[in-house]
Parts: sequence; C-alpha cells; structure tokens
Amino acid sequence: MAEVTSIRPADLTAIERNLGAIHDDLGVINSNVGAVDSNVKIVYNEIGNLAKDFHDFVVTQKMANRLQQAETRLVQIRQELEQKYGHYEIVRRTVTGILQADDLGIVKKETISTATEELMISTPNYWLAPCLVALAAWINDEPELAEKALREGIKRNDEKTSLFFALVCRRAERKEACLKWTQRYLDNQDEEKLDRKTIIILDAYASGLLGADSEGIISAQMSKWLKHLSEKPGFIEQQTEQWSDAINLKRKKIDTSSYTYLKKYSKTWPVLEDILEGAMLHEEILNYFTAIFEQEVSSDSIKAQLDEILNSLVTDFDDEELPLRKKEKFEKFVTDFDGDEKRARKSMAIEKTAFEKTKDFTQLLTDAAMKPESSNASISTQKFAISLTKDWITDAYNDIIAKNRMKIPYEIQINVDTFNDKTTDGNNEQEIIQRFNTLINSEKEAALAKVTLSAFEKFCLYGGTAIAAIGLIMFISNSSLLGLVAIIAGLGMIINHFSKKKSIEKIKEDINSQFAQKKESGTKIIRATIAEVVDFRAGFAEKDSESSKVLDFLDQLSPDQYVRKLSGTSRRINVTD
Amino acid sequence: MPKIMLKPAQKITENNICALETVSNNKQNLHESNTYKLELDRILRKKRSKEYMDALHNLDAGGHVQNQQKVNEIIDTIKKEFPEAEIFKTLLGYVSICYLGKPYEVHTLDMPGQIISHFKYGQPLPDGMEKARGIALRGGYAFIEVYTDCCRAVNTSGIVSVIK
Repeated sequence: MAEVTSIRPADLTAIERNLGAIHDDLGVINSNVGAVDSNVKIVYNEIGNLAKDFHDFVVTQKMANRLQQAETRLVQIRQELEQKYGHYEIVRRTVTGILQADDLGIVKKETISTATEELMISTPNYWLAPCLVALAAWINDEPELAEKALREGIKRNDEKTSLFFALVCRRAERKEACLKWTQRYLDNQDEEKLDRKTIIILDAYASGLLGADSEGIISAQMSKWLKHLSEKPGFIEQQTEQWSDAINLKRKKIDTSSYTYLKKYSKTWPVLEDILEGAMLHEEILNYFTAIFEQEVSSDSIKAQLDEILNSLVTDFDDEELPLRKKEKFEKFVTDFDGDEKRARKSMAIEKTAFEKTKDFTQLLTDAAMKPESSNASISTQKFAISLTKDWITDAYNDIIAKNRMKIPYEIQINVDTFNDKTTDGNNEQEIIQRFNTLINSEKEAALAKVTLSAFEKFCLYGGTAIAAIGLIMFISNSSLLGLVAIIAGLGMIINHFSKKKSIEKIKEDINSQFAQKKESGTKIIRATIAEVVDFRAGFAEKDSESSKVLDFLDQLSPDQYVRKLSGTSRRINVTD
Repeated sequence: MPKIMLKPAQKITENNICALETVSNNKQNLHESNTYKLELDRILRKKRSKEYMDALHNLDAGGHVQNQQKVNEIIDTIKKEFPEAEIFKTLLGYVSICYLGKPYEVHTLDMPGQIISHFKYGQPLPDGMEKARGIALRGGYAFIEVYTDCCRAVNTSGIVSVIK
C-alpha cells in the first residue's frame, strides 16, 4: 500500500505579483494604443484635408489653365473671324450708317453710291452686300441697278433679303411694298417651325404696322399655311385638344357658399362642384374675349421690336459665320466664368434654347390668344388669332360644353347620417321624407328593443319576493337572525328590480326624444338639401346657358376686321354685340 | 464533351421571315387603321344635314315601334349622311329625350337591333347607351349619337360636339 504524504501548499505570490505587473503593462499598452488610434485619426484628417486641398488645387489649376487656353483661343478665333468675315462687319456698319443717314438726310447720294459699290466687290458671297447696293440705288433713284442688286440679294439669301426690305419699307412708310416683301419672307418660313422673328412680324401685321392688306396677300399666305397643316392626319383633333386645354386653363375655383347643405349632405357634391365650375367658365371666357376685343391697341412697342429685328438682321452674324461665332461665344463664357467649362456649357445650352424655340403656326395662334403673358402677343394679335381660328375654338368650346354636360348627374344623392336616398330635381321630397321617417322609426325600434331587463333583473322581482317570504317564515319560527337576513336580501332584490326598470324607462324616454329630435332635424336637413338641389339645377342651367353667348360671340368674328388699318384711308370695323 | 458556351447564331429561316413580315404587316395595318380612325373622326365632326336631323327628330313621332318600314327609312337616311364612312361598326345607337310624356323619359334607336324603344324613369338603357342618358335628358341636344369609343352630341342646328 502506497504511503500517503501531504503536499505543501505552493507559494504563488511571485506569480500573482508578476500577473499584476503584466496587467499593469497591458493597461499601459492599451492607453498607448488609444493614443496611437487618436493620432492615426488626426493623421487621417490631415490627409483628408490635404487631399481636399490638393483636389481644389488641381481644379483651380485646371480652370486657370483652361482660362489661359480660352483667352488664347478667343484671340485665335477672333483673328480668324476678322480674316474671313471682317469685311462683313464693314457692310453691317455701312448699312446701319446708310439707314441712319437716310433718316437724317445729311449724306450726299454720291457718297452712298461709292461706299456701297466698293463693298459689293469686296464681299462676294454676303447677302447684305447686294442689299446695300439696292438700298443705295433706291435712295439714288436708280431702279435698274436696284432691281439687279435685289435679284442678287434674293439669290444669296431670299429669306433675309425679303425680311430686310420688308422692314426697310416699313420704316420708309412704303406699305404696299412692305406687305409684298413680308409675304415673300413668310413664304420662306416653315409653318411648323416659326421663330420669334416671324411671331413679331405677324404681330406687326395684325397691328396694321405693315399696311392694309387690301389684296389679302398675307392672309392668303396664312390660309396656305393653315391648309398645309390641316392636311396632316389628326390635325382637327390636335387643334380641338390644344384649344380645349387652353380654354380650360381659364377655369377658376368658385364660391360655393350658397350650397352648404349639398356640400355637407350629398356624396354627389364633388361632381356638382366640378360641373358648376365648368359652367362658370362660360362667363369667364365671354368676359375674357370681350375684354380683348374692347381694348384699344397701342403699336409703339411693336414698332420698337421691328426696329430691333432690323437692327439684329443687319448687325447679327451670317449663317456661314455661325460655327466660329458659336466657338467664340463658348470661349467667351469660359473666360467669363474663370475657366469653368461646366458653367460655360450650361449657359450655351440656355442661350441655344432661347433662340431656337420654334412653334407651329396654330400653336402660335393658340398661345397668342390664350396665353398673352407668356407669348408676349399684342392685343391686335390676340384679336386676330381668335378671329382666324374661331372655327377650331368653336369646335373645342362645343366639346367643352358637352363634356361638362355629360357629367351632369342624373340623380343627386342625399346622405344624412345613416339615411341615403336620391332625387333628380327635388320632386320626390315627400317620398324621401317618408322613407327617412320609416328608417328613423325602424332604427328607434331597434334601439328600444336593445334596452330590456336582463334575466337576473327580471328574476329579482319574483325571486326577491320568495326569499323575503321564506325569510319571514324563518323569522317567525325561531330562526330570527337567518330569517332577517333573508328578508333583507329579498327586499334588496325587489328594490333592484324596480330601480333597473325605472332606469330602463328613462333610457327609453331618452331614446324616444333623441330619435324625435333626429327625425325633426333630419327632415329639416333633407328639405334644405332638396331645396338646394332645385336651386343648383336652376343655377347650373342658367350658368350653362351662358355658353350660347360665347358661341354667338365667336360666330360674329371675322379675321379681316381685326387687322388694324393704320393708313387712315381704311375704316376699322368692330364686332357688334 | 465541351459545354456549349454560346448559342449558335440564329439562322434566318422561312418562319423568321414570315414572322418579320407579320410584324411589318401589323404595323402597316395599325398605321392604316389609325389613319382611317382620324379620317372617320373628321367626317363625323361635320355638321349634320337637315334630312338627317329631320329623320332622327321623327323617332319621337310615335308609331315607329311597330313600323319597321319607317325604321328602315331612318337607317337609310343615316347611311346617306355618311356615304364615305362605315359608321355602323362603331355606332351603337341614338338616345334622345322622349316627349311621349310620363312615365317615359328617353327613347333609343338601337343600331344593331334596328329598333326604336322608349324607356321609363329608372329603366336602364341597354348596350352601353345608359352613359348618354343624363346628357340626352339635361344637355339640351337634339339627340346623342352613342359610339363604342365616344358620344357625339348633336344640337338642333346639326352642330356636333364630341365627348370622349
């Protein structure tokens, strides 16, 4: 058998001490790691800032380089422009000079001739050069030379030459010639893509600034455009839709304070409100059209715009210059924005859309008639546009009227609390009230039927009496204490029965009075709602009938009446009411 | 055995050609039907003639319910009004206010059935014509032409308003 020896406990203090030291060291390491961590964060931030600074520096440097490049390019482009089209600039300045000189009458005719002939030779392809010669020949009363030069001008650029002479003739009060040139200019336009210039010219025509179109050459041109456009499939539908949209923009929110009951007690109200709004549009439109046709016309601003077109026609760049001019404009933007190409591109895009915005002839007429604020159309153009397109407006208007009438509800709902009924024109008021009373009565009966004594409460009367009677017998026959308890319990049950019965009667009374009140107020509401239905039907019919006034107004319009005559020899005809 | 990684290029078979032709024909048919529809809309927008207005006004004269010959005459007038258009494919019928007196409210000329019927208050109109009841009663139009895709309200002067 092995001998058992006791083991001496080991001395672990040294180990414990060392472990403590390790723990302390770990703490130190931990705090050091924390410090390193915060230092790393600082370094990260620093690097981030540095990267941002670097990035900013790169961007700034790029922009600075781009700016420098743009400045150099601008010089190069301008040199190229000067080299290729510098002589055009002289022509432009000369035309402006001649126009001003002719206005003032302070330059000799010979001087004008000499100046222009030299320019004709130095600018072989530019359309304005022969126009300049023709202008000078015209001033010097040399018809043969003028005609030759005109032919050349038309050959080089028919559209611009026509517009130029239309505007020059307008300044010179040669209205017949002005109209012919205008017609020639308009004939060069695409009726589906009319630009801002054409719109102003049409505005001037409508205001009578281009003279009285007694031969109807401009109106014939417009008829030609309309004929072309009308031949496109779906044109009528597109027109009707376009006009419907434009007319519907005039719809306004209406005052519905006279229909308080319908608003509150009819689920049909949203439809009623909508159709009433639609019917109110007729008065609105009639007032709008009447106001336009009663307004006096001022042509001063259009005269200024015509001169502006003439000025830009003369001073603006020619088509062949455009690519270089665009480059120049872009580089100019780059320099303006300190080398920021993004902003330069944005500005170019905005400029492009502003100038290249075109619309078709019918859209132009719709906008002029219905959106004068955004289309900048004069009152004359509004009158003219409405008169010219009256057939489409009438079609669209007829559709608007019919669409609104289609929504007229056959029956109008009446919804008072739980009661839902309907009426066409209020003739069935008695039947509705009868149905309402029947519903209230049945609801009252249902409510009363719920208010009854529970089985226990009913039992209390008989059960209580029996217990009290038993208690009395026990009380008499020596069990007085138990008998007394039974008597009290029995009496309590009887009292409970009667008190519950009383409270139920009270509740029933309340129910009766509540339903009587409901019946009374409900009847009042129904009568008031039906009265409003009658008013609504009459009110709507009255407002709806205003539509015929709009149609009559349109029917009497004629476009020729609204081309204002400024010559003084022609009379102006107003539409009769 | 190697896996087929890509589908072999599809060969244009006769079936493919047929399918392409069908697509192309469908497109053409669609275009033609759209053009036809626009042309039909244009025709149906025109002011109605006096003969047409008189014929449809006579619906209410009474007695036509039993007189099929009169109904046929009205239908002939309708055909003459639109000789260039096949309106019977889309025209469901006519609805107008009935002057026979209470309890009658509206009457209809049902195109597929070619019959005139009078309807009492609350009695629903058949074949998609119920939508025109309200406007026929309260719109003040001579009658309403009901089509599969729209209604055309015609006033006493024969002027047409389109309700889509």
